[in-house]
Amino acid sequence: MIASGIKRGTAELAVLSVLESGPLHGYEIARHIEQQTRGSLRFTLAALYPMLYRLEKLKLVQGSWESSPNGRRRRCYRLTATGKKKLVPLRKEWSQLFVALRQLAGGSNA
Amino acid sequence: MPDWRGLVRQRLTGIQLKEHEAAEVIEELADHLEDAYRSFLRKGLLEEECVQEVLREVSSWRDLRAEIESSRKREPAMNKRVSQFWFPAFLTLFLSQVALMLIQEFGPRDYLFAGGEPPTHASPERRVCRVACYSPSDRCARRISFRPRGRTRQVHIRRSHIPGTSVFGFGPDWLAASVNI
Repeated sequence: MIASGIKRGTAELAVLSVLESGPLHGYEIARHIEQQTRGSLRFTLAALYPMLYRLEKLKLVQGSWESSPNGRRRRCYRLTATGKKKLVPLRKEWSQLFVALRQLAGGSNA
Repeated sequence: MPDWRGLVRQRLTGIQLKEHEAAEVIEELADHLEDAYRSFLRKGLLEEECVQEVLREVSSWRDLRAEIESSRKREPAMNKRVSQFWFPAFLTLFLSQVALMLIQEFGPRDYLFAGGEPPTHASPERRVCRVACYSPSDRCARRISFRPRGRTRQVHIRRSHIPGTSVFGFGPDWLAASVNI
């Protein structure tokens, strides 16, 4: 499990990435992140919702109430055009960081 | 099945959001807890264990409440520095200039004391009017400066700066009049 400090920094990328495939509600976002990272990243309710609300305020995601086939009303989040634009440089920044960290880790091991 | 809505409503009591916003947040968080609870049930946990697992989702409800409040509140159009200092300061300056123009236009005539001669400096009546105008414009600015709530100490510091701007408005004219005397 990744430490919470590092996880917080990656949260924005993780949420925007899982929403790229389509609209999801809060619980589904958390499960998708957990499944896609094979349990390395796990967002609790306390970590997820304040961030979703912040992303919504920044207009990177848009939340709307939708009714599921079983009649249950859920709040679904979808990526906005601004969010899609933001995801490209965000991915680039993080991949650069990972490359740099890998080099650093490799250097210290050598 | 535990009453997740009731639990979330109780834990988020006093959340500083509009009523409909708070209701939406409560419904959404309760849905999340309910989903998590069902998921644990499917994994074969006992009901009590499921509840314990679900409650681990939030370590501090007070922190969560504060984070939700800050993340959902709209940013004010003006930041604190603008709303508590610059806006009142420029308003005071504007009001003092308008007051000066009004005094020039409709104030007491200089010839009352100048004996019909064209005045060479500001008359005592005009200076009294200017001083009289200083107080209302200063009070107005102080009130505006105090309206956006901030920490009391900061507000008092800002309030103490505001009269300076109305002096800036009246100052040059007053100085010119004094030098002429």
